[in-house]
Amino acid sequence: MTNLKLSSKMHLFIIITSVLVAAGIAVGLVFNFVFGGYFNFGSEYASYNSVVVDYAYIDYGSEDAVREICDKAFDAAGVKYYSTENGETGEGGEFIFKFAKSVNTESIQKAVGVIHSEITKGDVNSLSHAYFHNVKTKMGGAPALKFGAIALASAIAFQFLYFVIRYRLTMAFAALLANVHNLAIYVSLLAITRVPFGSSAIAFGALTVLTTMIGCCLLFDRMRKNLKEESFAKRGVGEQVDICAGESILNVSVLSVFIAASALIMFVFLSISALSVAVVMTPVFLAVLSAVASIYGTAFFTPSVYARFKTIGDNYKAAHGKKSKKA
Amino acid sequence: MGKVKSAVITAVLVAAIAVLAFFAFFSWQVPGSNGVSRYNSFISGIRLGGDLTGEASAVLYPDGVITAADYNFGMPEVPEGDEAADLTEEELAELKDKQKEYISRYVKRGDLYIDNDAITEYGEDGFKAHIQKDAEVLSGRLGEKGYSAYSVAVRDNYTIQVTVPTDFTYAAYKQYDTSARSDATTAISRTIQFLSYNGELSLRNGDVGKKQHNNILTPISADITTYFKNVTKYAVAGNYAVKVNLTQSGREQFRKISGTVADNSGEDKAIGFFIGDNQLLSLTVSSVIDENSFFITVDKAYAQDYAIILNSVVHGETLALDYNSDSVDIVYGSAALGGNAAIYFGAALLLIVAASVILSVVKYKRLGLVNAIMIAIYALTIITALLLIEIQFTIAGALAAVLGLALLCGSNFAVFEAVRRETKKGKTMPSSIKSGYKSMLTGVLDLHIILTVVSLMLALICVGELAACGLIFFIATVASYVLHWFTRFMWYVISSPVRNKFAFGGFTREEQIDD
Repeated sequence: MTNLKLSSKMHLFIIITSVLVAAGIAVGLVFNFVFGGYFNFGSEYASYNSVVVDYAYIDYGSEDAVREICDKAFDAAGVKYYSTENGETGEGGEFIFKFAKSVNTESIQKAVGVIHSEITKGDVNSLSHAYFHNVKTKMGGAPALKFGAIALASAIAFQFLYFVIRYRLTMAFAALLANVHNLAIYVSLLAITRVPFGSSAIAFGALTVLTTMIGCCLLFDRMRKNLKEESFAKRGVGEQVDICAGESILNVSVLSVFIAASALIMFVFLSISALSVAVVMTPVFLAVLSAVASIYGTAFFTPSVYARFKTIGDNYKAAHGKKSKKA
Repeated sequence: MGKVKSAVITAVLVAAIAVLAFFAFFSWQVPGSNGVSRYNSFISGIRLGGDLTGEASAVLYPDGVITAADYNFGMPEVPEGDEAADLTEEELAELKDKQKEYISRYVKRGDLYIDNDAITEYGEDGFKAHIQKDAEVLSGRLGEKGYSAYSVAVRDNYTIQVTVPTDFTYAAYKQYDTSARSDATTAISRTIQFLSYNGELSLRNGDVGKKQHNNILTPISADITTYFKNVTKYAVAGNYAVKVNLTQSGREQFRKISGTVADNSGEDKAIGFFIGDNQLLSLTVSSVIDENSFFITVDKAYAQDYAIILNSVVHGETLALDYNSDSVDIVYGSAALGGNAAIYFGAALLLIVAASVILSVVKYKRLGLVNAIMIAIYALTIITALLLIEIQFTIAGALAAVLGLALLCGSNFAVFEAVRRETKKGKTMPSSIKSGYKSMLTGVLDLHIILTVVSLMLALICVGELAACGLIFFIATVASYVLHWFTRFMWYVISSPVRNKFAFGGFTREEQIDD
């Protein structure tokens, strides 16, 4: 893959990036002002309604019978929960059904009434019961987001300094831009696609930065090595960058695709375990968004911008050299 | 290297991997123990996140708030029919009055019943505001625990719902290891109990403390939080302690009160650390304490919880209301991804590892087998590290480990390709390997240095799941670099007896044609 002409397409990539980021900001802001969230905050951050159904073993020997009653009541009320958990209590078992805030509260409460009268069989002293709950102000994810952002910013700064020392200044700036760019693309795609935002989204954000860093190392290591060859150094900047981008694009893409494919394998298996595709769709989407941001940013956008950086750097060096000579 | 030497080294390595893999993956009933004792494999001893083994959730009820079930249960009964006939009219009237009084004591809010006294004391909005504030304080305290995920929510305006990962190993989750399960559930109950203690910090002594003020040692009017910089958990060589760091005024105050306690003629020679009316720690004093910090030795299980709650209260973050923390019901829920999520997840990871092995063998023939050995060592290293360091393994953590696997295979494949390029130039195999490794030396090293530092940053700066991912990736990166060079060694060892070293890696040499 040495016939890529990425260096001459910088304007095209800048337009694509600008459109994606602008669309992300626009969609995010519209949702922020209309629905109260820049992102589609998942259950870790957003409030939700829940139905807790406690049942006693004396009334029900098996959880399946209770589950059937609940599902029937929810179906009849026309409401759908997005997650369910069950566990053991002192007297028996408990089901927790979680509903998005957008689901009609009255319908849920109607279903709760049906479930309650069904499982208590009219006995006020029954140990079995069903309650509707309004759960809000979830606070678990906030520190993760704050410290995650600090750590990623520190990591990006470190990579910049390392590149300044071990590679070249222009490469360091290009790597810095690649990290910021890919993260911006990932965040914009999150806002546009409305994939639920939670700790998985933060983890995949970190993964995007890590794969970008690896991609930049592969690209600029190729550049650094090739520049040592006299015949390569004599070529034009655009040609140099295109050759290196072509040589590294496969490795950069394979890495991101490998991670996305691994995530896909994991979530296919987990969807079999959960007997539901819905619960694993979010991480699968996040893996795809991360791979898209990483491949596009590192393999296409970065080489084109780096070519411009290198041209500016070389021109500056030439001008600086001429002045020195004159002096 | 000779054939024998090569065969012995290879055999020893493969045998070591096989034995380690056996203990890592298989569990069995220990013979001779009548099936009572069970050996649990390494993987079944790894702590799993809430996404794979479910979460523990508890609802904290402030004093004066009860459920509808408790309300109905506590309702005084008034007999009717034949039962009522056995009672005198006065007795019946008394029972009716009791029931009336009980009903008028509570006000219904949704499915909860609130004691009127609580509403009178704080006002309804004030009561709700206290609960909201307490939830924030609790969230801060739980944040210090380093859970992979947790949440604190206000439920129905009057209760607080706390959800934390169960921290079960697979053996504990499936109840193969009942003591590990019991340890995990006890730890969760203890944490919820300690972290939801309400009230301020006070230092007390039964002999020299102020009798009329709960034996408090410090001046009653003083703000005790000004005495402390912070409180941290301290662990060294298997010993655990709570380290209390004092401010200058705190140091002076401790010099005074420790002197008083040490010199007193009574039996109580300890300074008790109380949160509200709950005693957390007791510091036995034999002489004056005149240090900027001191340690109180505690059991490993309690050290972190004590440090968190004390650090929270010395920074003025106290709970305003009293919760049912001593008798809270904890529900251990199933994993949202299904009861057997951990098994399916393990199978998916095995498939990824197998795919990497097949890919390397198909692409690089017997050299691919060398890479396969490295993949096996890498997988066992990660499993052992997870087991020993007790890192909570989640889906995100698995992705970090897979990224490390990609790094290892990528580094090796890059070198193999560099060697292939050298062979195509017509070089001999030893010369190609030397040049190939040399050409990739700086690139691979730079990549690993950057990723090692970045993963360390993630592990040290982040909290919860991201920190665990950072630590896993740190181990993965270090393992990847070590194994990258070990590949070089094993390439040399295994290919030594092979005559056609080009065929060993599926390489071809282009013959140089002399003009």
